Amino acid sequence: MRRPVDAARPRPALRDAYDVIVVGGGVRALAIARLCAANNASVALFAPGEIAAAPDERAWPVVRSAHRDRQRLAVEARAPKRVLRAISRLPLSVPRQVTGCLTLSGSADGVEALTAVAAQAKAVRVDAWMVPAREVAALSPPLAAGRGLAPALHEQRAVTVDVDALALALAAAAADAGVGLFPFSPVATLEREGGAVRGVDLGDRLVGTSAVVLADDFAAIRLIREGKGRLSLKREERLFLTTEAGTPYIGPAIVADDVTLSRDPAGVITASGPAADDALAERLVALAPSLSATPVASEEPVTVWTGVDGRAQVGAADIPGLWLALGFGRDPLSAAGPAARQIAGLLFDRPVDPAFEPFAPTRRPTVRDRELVR
Amino acid sequence: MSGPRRLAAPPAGFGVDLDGAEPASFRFGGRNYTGCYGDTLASGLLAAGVSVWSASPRLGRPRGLMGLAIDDAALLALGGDSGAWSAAAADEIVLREAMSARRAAPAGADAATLTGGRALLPAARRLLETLRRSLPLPAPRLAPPRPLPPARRDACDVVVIGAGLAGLAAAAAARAAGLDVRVVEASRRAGGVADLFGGRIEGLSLKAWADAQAAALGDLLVANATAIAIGADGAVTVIERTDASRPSEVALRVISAGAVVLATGSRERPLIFADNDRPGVLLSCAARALLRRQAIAPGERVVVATTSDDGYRTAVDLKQAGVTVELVLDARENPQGAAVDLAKAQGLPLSLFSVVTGVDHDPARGGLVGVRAQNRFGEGVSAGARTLAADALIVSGGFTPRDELARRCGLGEAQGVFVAAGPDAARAVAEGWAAGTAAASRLGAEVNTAAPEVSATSDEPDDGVAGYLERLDPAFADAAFVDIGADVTAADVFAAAEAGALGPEALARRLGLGGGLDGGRLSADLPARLFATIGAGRPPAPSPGRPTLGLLAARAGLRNA
Repeated sequence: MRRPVDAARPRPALRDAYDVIVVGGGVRALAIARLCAANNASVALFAPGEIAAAPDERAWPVVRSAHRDRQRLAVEARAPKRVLRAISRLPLSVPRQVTGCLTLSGSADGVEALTAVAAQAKAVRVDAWMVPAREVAALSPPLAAGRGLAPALHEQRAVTVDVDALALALAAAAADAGVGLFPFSPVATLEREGGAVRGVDLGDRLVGTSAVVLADDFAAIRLIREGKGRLSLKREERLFLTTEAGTPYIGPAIVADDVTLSRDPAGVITASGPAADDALAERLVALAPSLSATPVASEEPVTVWTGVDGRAQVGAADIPGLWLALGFGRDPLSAAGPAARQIAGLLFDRPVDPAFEPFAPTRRPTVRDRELVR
Repeated sequence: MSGPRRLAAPPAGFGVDLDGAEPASFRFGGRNYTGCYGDTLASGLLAAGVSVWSASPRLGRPRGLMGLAIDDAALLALGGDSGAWSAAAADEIVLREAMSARRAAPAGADAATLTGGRALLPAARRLLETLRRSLPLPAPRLAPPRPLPPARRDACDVVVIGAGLAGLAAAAAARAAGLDVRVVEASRRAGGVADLFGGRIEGLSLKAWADAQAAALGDLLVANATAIAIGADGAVTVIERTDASRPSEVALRVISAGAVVLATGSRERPLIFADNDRPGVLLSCAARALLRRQAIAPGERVVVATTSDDGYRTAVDLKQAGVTVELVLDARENPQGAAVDLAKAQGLPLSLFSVVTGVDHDPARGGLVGVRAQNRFGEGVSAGARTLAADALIVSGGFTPRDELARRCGLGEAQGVFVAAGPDAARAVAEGWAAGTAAASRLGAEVNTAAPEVSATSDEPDDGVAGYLERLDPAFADAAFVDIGADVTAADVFAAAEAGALGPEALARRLGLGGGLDGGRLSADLPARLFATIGAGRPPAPSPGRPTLGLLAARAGLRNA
């Protein structure tokens, strides 16, 4: 009998050499691989596990611009608009919604800090402004019942994405562009010659290349640190949970200190927060009491990695032939698009965004940083 | 009349739970019905000829009872109840006078406010949300915040999850060693399916032995309590239905113990063919339970499709109860088990090496009218496609362990988690006793009593659903369900695999496996079997039971206290 899957896309054959090898299997890695292939390079993507949205991307599936970090704000100012445009060109449909994002403040100086973010956002023409407590309650029904609402930062154009569908569509687009996708193919070591990277070792096989892009934090740490290199990333253990589909409307996505809350078009609420036992559920119920009857479909741990100075690493590493897109912290999805464009621009001598300079992996602590440490 | 009905004069051994002819009237979906004392809501509805209970969440297909109690997907709720745990298997709700029940609402139903309580279609809901973001519509009414459910901590030496034969044997062993034991049972009754199998333990019937053990445990046996998780420290999180007549009232109990025995037993696999979700398609154990406990016959002319010996046991029971067994279809070539011999001796018509490919149903009445069958191999004329007239189809795809708790916690004997899973009475008691003994010796206690003596026959190995997967017609794959509770069909799986979902977890998330009210338990093994045939790896385990955010917050309060 003919099985429908016999007609499925044939698995790509592994070649001896590629122009670019991307390590990682999430949205970030797929976006980079696809842009490299669009520049007529031969590209292979080696994922340590499945090729699907990474846990940190699923934990906060929101693309937004109004970060507290002024430098991130500068590079991601156009991110929501661009992700919508990119999605409309993908071969598979990706459910997404312009939900907006509310950043709540915990205390009085929180409000001041958020006001400063709003001012910076205005300077780079991001639609984000402070809204008074009354309007916060109107925007977000579940928060309305909570006590002690304070003014919050509202970013109107933030986008919530079905990140699994996005990864699948990106994978399909990458495969159409000729990228070789290899799930469950962890890279064992980087092959180096005279300091420069010249390939990857898959354990049973060497694959040559002149450029390796590391877009998976944990794989990068294994490859670099265990090769006695330095990677200046720190880890944070978090937890995220998803609810059943069809939950009530919650208004914009919400950031409250270290807890995030978003709801996708199918009505699945995703919340992420500290990993301590049930602390996340406790915080959510305190924040939005009406959610307490919501059934929890899954709970998963997630490790997020940030640069030791709190900033991601995007660009060429100290090792020739090695490129990094790592350490985006709790907000990895917003950075995926800009970082992919930056890496592809650097690799293929296209125009790059000068605002990415503070994120270069080769950066050294500035005089000011050193003084702060002292 | 055809379809499910109550036997007018049940022979001895059938309808043992029924309490004489004491009637109990109840309401379902706005209409009045009458059942008997001793009925459950499930048997009361079937006795009244109501076989369509609910609509499936995504496709809106009619659904009814299919599996046994805690695994079933067609859940009901009592009038006035709300909340995540108000949905209960109809076989778990004991019928009472003036009871009122309705279909359980899917999670999103309380989002419907502008429509007078009716659940909106997903597309309409999305449109409303888009409007809500741009227009000053009145704020949606939300569920009023409720106080957190009560929670308490409990400690003992050994906690046994499951009060079937294995669990009761494990508890008996641990108690013989002088240990403090708790037995947690998800269903309302101990003993599991002991009353559906022949055999003797210490001279008693399986059921009598189980009842005696349960009585000896007394308060240490916690019924209506679902273990939903085992923490890294071995603490078992249990959600208890504190009031059997109000399933939505739940409390949380966290039991810390020196050792955990997982005796969660086995569940029967459904078979996969076109329209395998229709009301009237019933698992073999569920059909036998209804027949023996409440004298409910699944129909007048019944076809049995099996890949294991259990289908024969039900066929023999049906014949004894006076139901016409049209044909027993076995996917195996040459079954030789004791149950098969008994069926042959009773003169049941048998067709080996054949499978069901679909059912014909009557949309007006909601029941079956025919069963399409063919040989397992052969094309065209040699496939021997035929249609059998029948108003019910009993299916049995063999048994698969309920291993979701073990798989999700990832702990083993080194951490004090012992698994007892026997496929038949003899092995269940032996493994349960061994697990109880091992748990006791971990805590430094010794069991000096001998294991109970069991005489029971074993089944031959079943064939799983391999024959059915080989015969699955791609043209009808969009009606062949692999996750009945969440409305996921074989065609969905093929389409997602073709679209390039790479990896079992991503594929399962994309399909929404386990998204139904049953958490994927009813047809737990079917996705795994189908994934294996397309080389997609192993999907995640079904959910053992879903906590709400409030329950998790209550557990947090317990840890802080």
